[in-house]
Amino acid sequence: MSRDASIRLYRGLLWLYPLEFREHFAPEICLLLADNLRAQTNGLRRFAIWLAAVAAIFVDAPKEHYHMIRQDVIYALRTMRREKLTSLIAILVLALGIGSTATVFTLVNGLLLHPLPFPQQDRLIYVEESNGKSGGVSGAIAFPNYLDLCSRNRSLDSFALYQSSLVALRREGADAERIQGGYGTAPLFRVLGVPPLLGRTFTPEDDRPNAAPVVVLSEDFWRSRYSGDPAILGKTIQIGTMFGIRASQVIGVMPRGFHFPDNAQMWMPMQLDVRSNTRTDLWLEGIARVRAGVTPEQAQTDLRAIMQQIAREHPTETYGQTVNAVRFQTQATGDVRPVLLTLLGAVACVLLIACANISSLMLVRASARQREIAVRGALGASRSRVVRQFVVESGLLGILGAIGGMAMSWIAVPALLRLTPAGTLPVWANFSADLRTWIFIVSITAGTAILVGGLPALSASRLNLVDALKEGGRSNTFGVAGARVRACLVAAEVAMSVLLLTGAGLMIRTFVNLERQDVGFRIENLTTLYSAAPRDRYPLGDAAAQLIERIEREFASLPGVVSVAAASAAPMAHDWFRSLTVEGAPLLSLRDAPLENHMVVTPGYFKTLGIPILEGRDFGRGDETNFRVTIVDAGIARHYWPNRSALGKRIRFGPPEDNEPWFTVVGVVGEARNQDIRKLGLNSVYIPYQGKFDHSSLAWLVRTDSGMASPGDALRRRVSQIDRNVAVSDVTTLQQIVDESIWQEPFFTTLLAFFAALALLMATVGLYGVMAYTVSRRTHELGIRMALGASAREIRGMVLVQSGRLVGAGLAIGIAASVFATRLLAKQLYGVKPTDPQTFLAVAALLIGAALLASYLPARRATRVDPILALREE
Amino acid sequence: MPRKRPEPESPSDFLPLQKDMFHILVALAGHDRHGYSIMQDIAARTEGKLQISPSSLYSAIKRMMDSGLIEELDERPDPERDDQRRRYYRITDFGRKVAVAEARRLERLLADARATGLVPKRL
Repeated sequence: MSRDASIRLYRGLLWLYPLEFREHFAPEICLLLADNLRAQTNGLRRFAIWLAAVAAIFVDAPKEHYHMIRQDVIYALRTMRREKLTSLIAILVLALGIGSTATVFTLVNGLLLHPLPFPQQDRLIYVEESNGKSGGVSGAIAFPNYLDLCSRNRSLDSFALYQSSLVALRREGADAERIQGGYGTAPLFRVLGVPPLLGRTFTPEDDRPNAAPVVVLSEDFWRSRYSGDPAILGKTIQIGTMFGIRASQVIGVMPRGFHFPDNAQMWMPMQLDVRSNTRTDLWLEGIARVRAGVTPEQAQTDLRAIMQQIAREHPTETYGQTVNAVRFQTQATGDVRPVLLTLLGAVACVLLIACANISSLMLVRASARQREIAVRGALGASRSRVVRQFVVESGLLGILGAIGGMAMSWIAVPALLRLTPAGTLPVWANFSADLRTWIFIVSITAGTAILVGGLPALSASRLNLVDALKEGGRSNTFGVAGARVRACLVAAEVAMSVLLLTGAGLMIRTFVNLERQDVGFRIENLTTLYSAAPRDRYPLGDAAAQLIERIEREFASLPGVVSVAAASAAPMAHDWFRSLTVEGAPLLSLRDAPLENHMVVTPGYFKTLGIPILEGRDFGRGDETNFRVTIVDAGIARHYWPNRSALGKRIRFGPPEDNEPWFTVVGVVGEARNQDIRKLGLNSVYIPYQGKFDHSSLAWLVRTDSGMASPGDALRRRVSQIDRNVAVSDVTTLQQIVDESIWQEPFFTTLLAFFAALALLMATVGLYGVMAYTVSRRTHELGIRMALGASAREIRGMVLVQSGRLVGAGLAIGIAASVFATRLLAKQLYGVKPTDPQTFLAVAALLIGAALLASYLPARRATRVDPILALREE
Repeated sequence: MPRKRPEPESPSDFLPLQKDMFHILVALAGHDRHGYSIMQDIAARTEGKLQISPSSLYSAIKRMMDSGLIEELDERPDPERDDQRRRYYRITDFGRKVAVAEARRLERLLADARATGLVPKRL
């Protein structure tokens, strides 16, 4: 390499140094190296010198950067100490912005991004039949259809059905208890891809109807109940299931942390019989593992084609269904996904507003420091140095803000999680900070620093030194451009606040609507619990009926109890739907027959829940022998027998072609939202309980005197006194059940309202800052105007008009954006349209009010300008 | 006119002085020099044992200028010998104080070494 080439290469490497250093010293350094090389005659020695010089660059350049940044940081800290209040406000505002964003991101990460705890979890899909009607059938698969889908598909590695269920555990000398269990078809564990810790999981033989009962335990359960005894394998435990009490042999233990579905502690094979499970019995959920390289969409196409074949082969058992296959994680987080993503959008707005606010503050600060910057420039600080100084300052603010934000998030995340009722979030959700969280926080901090410091840095770099020095510090050079930029920033803040306020307003209306909702029954003073009677001691029929009567009597005898009833499920937990056929009406196919909520209740159910009997009578003891009677709700009566009495009419349930027996209507009751208080138009039919229905899970409803504490423990004790083998679970109140069923609304509303309030506050403060600054800058002009005879009213009007222009522009943009953005909220809204004019008007009024407040003080100050003083200052 | 740099509080803040910096101060103690001259002087005094690379030399110079130990001259000291392309440096009064303080420190260290018998009284 020639000497020139080696010097050129060396000079190129000097780019590793900071610009300022390079500009000042690079020519000298190169000259020095050239001198050194020239002084050597030996080629090898020359090369060694060159190599050492090159190596030194790699050591010295990073040190030079470090020294420069250190100096900048020291300088920035000194500035911050000098302007304590401004810096403190900036850090606080950024902490709120970053903290809110980090908090919501932690929730999003823990729920939506954190992978499920199963190997290659992205290959897991949720499979369901659906007839595509809203409020129609979805979320389940019929067993015969499952078998066909299993044998004919080409896209799945494995496919299983599962069902979560409480099982009763009978123990010697203790009350029976109910714990969370899971049923699955044989391939369940293969689908999930998790091998057992001990023993084995289900084989196809275990899953055959009437096979010997077996059970797999969770690691927690095995450790807590059997002290982790490895000899548990082969032992039998008494489990009360939907099939009755069964002595089940323990065949395996799953590893720690394995729970599926929900928080299941033990698993049993389903042992389904295709003869007793028809293609219209929809109660089992499906999970599958797609083959490697197959997407969920491809699997769905494959399964849909098979479902079409099935529909052609079994025309009377089809109801127009297709198959949906979605990523399991998407399905498992389906409820909270839109809520969280909306919140993420909301906090992004809050963070942007915070950045705009602080950027504006920094612009003011920069313009106040214009002379200082000019002096530093004149003393030789390069432009890049001045820009870097701003970037370091904003970076420091960003980092301090991020530290504050992380502290805030550290407190806020657990607090928010406490607002979610137990069992609503998936067991596998993990909210601890992982690499993704850290990358996110570092990125938003960097982004914040750039947004906050970018504009002042840019204006400082464009500063005309000569003018700035000549003007003697009266900020104007980047005052004019800066003021324009700040005006735009405030308008943007107003627009984003409008967006958040509109969202929050709509959610508040939704929440109020839900709270005011007439659910059709009285929620207060009602305790609910579930009982599970062992089928071996209480076979269906008289024994079961007698037990239920006895429990009812015991409950009713408790002090303060007004009435007692039992039902197949408590309100909101109901999910038994059957097709309805009306005598005399045209026979509809299964596809077209309406689905009704099907409830089995004891006499006194309507009185206990406070559902009015509009016509006819309640069920009575006489119905025990003649149980082909039914009570329908007013919606059904109105629809099928308008302007006529429904009494004496006959209806039947199940697939229309099945010719199940007719039931005679003996009563009409008010409509009650038994399934979901948001859902309209889902009607209910009631049939009497006569010991003939499954009582492995029976809901009890106990109404008490108002003002009395829930008698949950007393009820539990009474059941235990009757028979310790009857397990009791889910002791709660109806109020709690209803609140938990709509927990998302208050959760979401509170957060959104908080973010909107924060946005409004920041925008108001931002507007105040801009107006106050404008007035102070225009002191001279206002003084002249007043000297020329302008009245205080005119001056005030001038300032208010200027602020009105900013707010008006922001408001217009914000409302236009809201019209589009609130559509994304549509699914979360109840009883209010996304473009609800009242909400929009209220938001506009609120914002104008806040703007007037923010502009009034500067406007008043403008009128107090003393013309003589203002002119003399000049 | 040399540019004024702010002087730090006390020379002792710089002790112990970095080896390169002390050598630069010693090189500048006699008369003002440019970078190559400083390097040659150091090489001559250390019999070629201390080799500072060009980039390290100027990193040290920059740091010393920032700290007010040396200053860059706007004028050239001797128009006859002057190489117009080069920048010249001069030790400041403060730089002198720091160099003296460092020399005293080294002296004390040597005295201690002698007192303990580690180093003979007379070499």
